[in-house]
Amino acid sequence: MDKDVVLRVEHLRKYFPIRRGLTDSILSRERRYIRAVDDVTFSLKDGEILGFVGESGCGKSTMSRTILRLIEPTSGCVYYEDDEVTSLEKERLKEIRRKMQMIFQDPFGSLNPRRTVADTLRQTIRIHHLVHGKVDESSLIKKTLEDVGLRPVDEFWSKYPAVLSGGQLQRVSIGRVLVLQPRFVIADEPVSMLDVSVRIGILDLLWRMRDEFHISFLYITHDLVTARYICDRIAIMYLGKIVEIGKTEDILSRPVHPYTQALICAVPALDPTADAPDVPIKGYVPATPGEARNTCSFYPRCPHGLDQCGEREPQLVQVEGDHYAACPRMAF
Amino acid sequence: MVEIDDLKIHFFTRRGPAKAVDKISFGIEKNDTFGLIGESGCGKTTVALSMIRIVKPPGRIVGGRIFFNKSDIVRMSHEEIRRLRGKDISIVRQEAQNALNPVMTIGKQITEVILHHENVPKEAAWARAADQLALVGISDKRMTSYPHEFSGGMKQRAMVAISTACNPKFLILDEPTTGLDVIVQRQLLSLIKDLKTRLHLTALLITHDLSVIAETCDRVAVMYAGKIVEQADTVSLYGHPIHPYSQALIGAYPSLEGERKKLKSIPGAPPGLIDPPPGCRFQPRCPHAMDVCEREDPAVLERDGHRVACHLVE
Repeated sequence: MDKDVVLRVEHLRKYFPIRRGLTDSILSRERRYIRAVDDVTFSLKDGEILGFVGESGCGKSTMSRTILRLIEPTSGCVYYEDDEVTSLEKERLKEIRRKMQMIFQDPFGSLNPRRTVADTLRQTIRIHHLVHGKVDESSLIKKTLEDVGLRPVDEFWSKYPAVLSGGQLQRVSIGRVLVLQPRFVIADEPVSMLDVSVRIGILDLLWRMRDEFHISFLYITHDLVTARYICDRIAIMYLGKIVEIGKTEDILSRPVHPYTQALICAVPALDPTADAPDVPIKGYVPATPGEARNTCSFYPRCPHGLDQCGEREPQLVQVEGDHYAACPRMAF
Repeated sequence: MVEIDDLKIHFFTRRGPAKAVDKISFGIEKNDTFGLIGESGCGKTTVALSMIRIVKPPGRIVGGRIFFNKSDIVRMSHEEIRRLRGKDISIVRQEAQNALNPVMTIGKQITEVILHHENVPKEAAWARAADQLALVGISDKRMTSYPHEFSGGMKQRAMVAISTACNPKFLILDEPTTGLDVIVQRQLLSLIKDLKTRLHLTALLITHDLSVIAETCDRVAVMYAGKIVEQADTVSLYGHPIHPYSQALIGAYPSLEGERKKLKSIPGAPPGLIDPPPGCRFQPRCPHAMDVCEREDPAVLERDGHRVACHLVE
């Protein structure tokens, strides 16, 4: 693997079986699957923030959990440095999990309400045997709280989650990740439950973690606006697949895939004098995605829909430089 | 059409009364969409609930008036307000999945509202409910579906269908698009705009999302810690925000337009409402705070329909 690549994901798939009814079993009908993550390949460079943007149900959260092996993948490989994560033994997995961490969406739910801020960090330190002795422990907790901007530390030290605001809670859960000095972190909608006035503070904190602690990020979100703020590159996901990936400016100023174009067009402008353009696509994301198919998954909603689109599944094709899109209009 | 005057709502908690809504005033003109924006816990939803008098205890309206077509909602009898709810004033609540009855078909839920308020035969009500569903862009074949068979966006549309079933004059939308995907959000916003012109609705839209307000509202009020700090027509408020909180809020909002630049978040967190800071409530987080801000609650000043409560304004 390249020196400057932290994480490489190859042909990752996660299929969830749909439970069969009694009639299906008697008639021995074939088992059907929801293809939550369907053949995803990408690499995350050292010190990069790569955004995964998609609507709910597109498989972005399943993908992130599969990468960390919180869910076992159906097939595919995940390389972290020299290890292939999907085939690791339990012991080794625990070791490298220290280096691959996750920040969850809901800080109100991801912290133990009966633990103080300091206890929350102390638990992480003890589980991973980071330091020994109470003095070292306390100074590490103190340093971490300062790093995530919970200052003055004494004020937050023995507070319980119930008395902290959403932004402060999210800083505690980021601290719990940062104390492990991870190499890369998956941030799954870290600001979508927070108020507008504190969102930027959290995003800037992620940025600082990248600059000061050399942490690479996968930033999972449904929100193109925050992705534009923080990401170096953006991947757009639709029904378990990456449909377009490239540098943030390229994706936003020269989108190629009709789905990307629709997403951008649907974002409301902050300017009250601007007219809202109509979204050029129709219908909804299907409720049960991922029947086996040989068509473009976006075909039923696509405004361009060529005949070829219904005949085979498009692959990612280079548009220019780092910019790739999976649209048959590119290939033909 | 709607006039709120010095409204005060307190929540009587064990630690003392929380002043969730503290002396707010605003008016909504006929056929306008009025936006109320603020962060979580600033009291905006409480304002919405008070307009149909469904603030739950320990919350209570302790002062002020809410005029709807010249009659005061605060002083109405239970029977009077019950006739108004769902008929003249209707609400679309946040998170439609929790507001819909999971064991009743969508058609039945729309029909129920019509039967409750109007003296029509069941069949006629059912037929009107089907029209209503078609109006929000859902096929009337789905009348017999249950809420769990609908997607998030469809549930929110069904909620809109229920709320507008009796041709209300005034529609309250409490975070109607929160939790919806952008494309679905856009579809819902255009639906609301479309219904507004077709049904001649006046609306109050409550949200924390600045861009949703920019897209839909004629006038907007910014709420902070139970108070309205600034209100104006949308174009001038977004173009020239005067209150430091409005400025900071707009400044902290990332956008798809313009250059990619660093933004500034607002330091600190909103105050508790049981013992809010003395003077101006934004003063502890305000970059321009002066001595007087700690002592005195700023008065509301108005020029050309732009109202601000800040000591910086002369």
